[in-house]
Amino acid sequence: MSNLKKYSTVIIVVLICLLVTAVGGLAGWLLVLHSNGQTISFESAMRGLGLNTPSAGQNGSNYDNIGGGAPNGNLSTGSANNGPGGSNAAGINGGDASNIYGSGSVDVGVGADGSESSAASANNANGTSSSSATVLKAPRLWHVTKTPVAGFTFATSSPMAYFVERATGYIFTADEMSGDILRRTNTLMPKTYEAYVARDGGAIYRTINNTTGAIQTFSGIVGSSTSQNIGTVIGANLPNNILAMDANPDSKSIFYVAQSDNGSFSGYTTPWTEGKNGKQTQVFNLSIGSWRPFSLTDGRLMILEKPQDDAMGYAYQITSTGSLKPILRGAPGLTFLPLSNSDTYVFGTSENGALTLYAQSNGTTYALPVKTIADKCTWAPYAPATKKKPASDIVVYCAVPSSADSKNFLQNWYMGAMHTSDSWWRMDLTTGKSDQILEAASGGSELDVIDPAVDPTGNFIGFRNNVDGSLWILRINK
Amino acid sequence: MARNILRVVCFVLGVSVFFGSIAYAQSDPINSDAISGYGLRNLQNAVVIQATPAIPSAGDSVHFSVEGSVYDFSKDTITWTLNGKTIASGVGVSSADATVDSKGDTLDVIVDVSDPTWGDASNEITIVPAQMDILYDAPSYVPPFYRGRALPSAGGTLNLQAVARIVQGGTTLPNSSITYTWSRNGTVLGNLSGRGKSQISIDSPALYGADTISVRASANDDTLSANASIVIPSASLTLKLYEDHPLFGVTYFNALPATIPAQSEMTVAAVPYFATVTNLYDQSLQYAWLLNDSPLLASSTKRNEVTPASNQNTAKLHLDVTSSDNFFLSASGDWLFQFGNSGGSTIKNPGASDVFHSDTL
Repeated sequence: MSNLKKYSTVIIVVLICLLVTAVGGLAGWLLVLHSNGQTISFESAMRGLGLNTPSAGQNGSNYDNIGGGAPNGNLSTGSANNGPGGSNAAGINGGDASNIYGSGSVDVGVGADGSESSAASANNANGTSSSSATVLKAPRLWHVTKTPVAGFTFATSSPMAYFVERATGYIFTADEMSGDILRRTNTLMPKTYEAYVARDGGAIYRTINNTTGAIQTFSGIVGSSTSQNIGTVIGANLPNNILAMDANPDSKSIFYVAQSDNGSFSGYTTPWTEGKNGKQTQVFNLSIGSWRPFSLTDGRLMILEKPQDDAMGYAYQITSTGSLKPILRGAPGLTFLPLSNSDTYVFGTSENGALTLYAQSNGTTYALPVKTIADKCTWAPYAPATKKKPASDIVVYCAVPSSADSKNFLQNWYMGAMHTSDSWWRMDLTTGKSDQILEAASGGSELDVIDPAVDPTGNFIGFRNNVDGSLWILRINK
Repeated sequence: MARNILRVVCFVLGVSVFFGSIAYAQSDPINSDAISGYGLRNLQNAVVIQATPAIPSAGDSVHFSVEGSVYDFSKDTITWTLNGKTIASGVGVSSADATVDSKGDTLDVIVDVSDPTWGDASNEITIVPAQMDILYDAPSYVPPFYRGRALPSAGGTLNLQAVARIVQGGTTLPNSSITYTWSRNGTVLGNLSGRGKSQISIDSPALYGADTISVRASANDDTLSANASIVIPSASLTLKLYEDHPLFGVTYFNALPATIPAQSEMTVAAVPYFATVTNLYDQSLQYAWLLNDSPLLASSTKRNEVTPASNQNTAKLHLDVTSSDNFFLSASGDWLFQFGNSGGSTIKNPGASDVFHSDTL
């Protein structure tokens, strides 16, 4: 009997313990439900905050909208190629970036340099970060964008190019080494027909007013933009109806031509103060308005009478007194490209359907061994002689059409009525040596080069393809 | 007595030495070693160049002669260099001639004289001829950002600008000091000519024609002058068609060909280059659009734009551009749209050309 009583007591104690445990567990469960409920409510209220821009990453979705975006399959290819840790796997741009902007950032190791390609592939296979400057992931001929750009420039602080998308006016950076594309601004500037970009990413936007047809020019500065943040463009309007302009990112000066109230045409200079409308100074006044201005880094201002096949063209330097100092006179179909800090220039003629390119240096004129126009040429960086160093070689790069059979090449080309397939040539005016550095139609791409520019290191040439306005970057050395 | 004899002897000796010196000097006038000792040999600027006329015009002949007070040029070897090239050389060649080219380019003349006694000398002269440039364009229509020249077409206006450079005494004469005489096909345009009139506007050349425009600039009572002339043809109205892309705007960089592959529809913009208007919406400009031979209504605000669409695979688009103010202004174009294609836009399919997989790059 005593044992029964003893067992009952034990059972009661056990039941009480179970009851206490159950009550405690229930209370804990209620607490869990309560806290999770708060989290769910919070996330519900704040959903979307902190998430990347959907579908197209920060680079925008224009290209999908126009049917230009690559199929999704390429996204996985890009990620797979880069492997874990590869900068294109995810990151700021989102996966689609690699599809939107060429395949250069996707296709690791397909450049001309086999060793570089192999190294890049190996590194990426092992998950090595693409930030290493010695790893070239962009191919030698890099199709940076597939849609038109309004303008571009090379940065001086790092091996990358800034460019302005024509459709949106967004500013992007294209890393020449890694092939990464990064959007830097989110201010919509639709239908930017022409843009001049500063070395730090500020830009001058040129567009056409949809209602009045007026040419509008806006000088913008990026408010704040880091690798993680997209900046806003703020700025000021420059005068309307600027007919032609040149903005030098090194001298930070703008030189433009506009019509005066009395019907004549004047040239003006103004400091390129990003985001602001600087004080303009009139430097010449003439009765004709067909001028192409040149603002050189050394401060010189030059103008070229706009070219026309077989029509005599003139190029002048604007002196400090506003007079016209002749540089080239009476050359048919004259195109012109001066070199800063030098009296050297190249010029082309278009006469009777024949293109001829010349260089003038130290007072001597040379006929160059290529048939092209100065519009398709650009100078390598040039350093004049100093007390410590002699002058660097004077080198010009020119895109040369495979065929330029047209009685009116300039007119047809300027109108977009004909396109060329260009090769790239390097001509050293100091040594007299010329070399072809890229054959025409390399890789099956017809390149109709316009607006070429060499980066400050002299290693890359950027240009737009006049067939579609897309941006390309060519690594000069294989 | 002896003192007097000594004086006479000294006098005779002195006179003898004096005349002897003269006689010696006559036999060997100047000793090169002696003038070299005085630093008088190889004086670089001991000769000067005289140019006649001093301010030539384009096409003028210029006579150059060398002058110097101590040189006997008939015995010297003289070399003349014009703009880096030797044009005359030899003993006694004390003059040379050159002609200013039709552009009036600068003449840079150097003379080098080699004399057995006085050594080498040289000098340089730069002749800046009176120069004249004639620049022209027209207030005709070209689209924004067009890189070529706006050309004059029949029924329109031609703008001319003369740029004269006449240097006198090292100073360029101001435009207000120069009298311009303009002529067209040999006929002087008296009412447009005059002092300081370097800019004029005249009627464009006739349809399919060309005008010779000449201008003469004169100053300083006509003692200084420069001439230039230019042949300016009448430009033909050139009609081009471009896509007005909803994102990229008018793609001026790529004129549409006669056969246009397109998707379902495409907005296109006509651009009549060199039309005698300043904007495309000028009321005098008339656009007559036909789609498959039926009138096609254009946008009310942009009369140069239409959006052809068709249920058929192809559509013919025709455009006549005329002007109520200028019956010379006339152009037409025909295009064939092939709908249902992936293309149409100048913006290619991104995957169409991929150079990145090429091993050759």
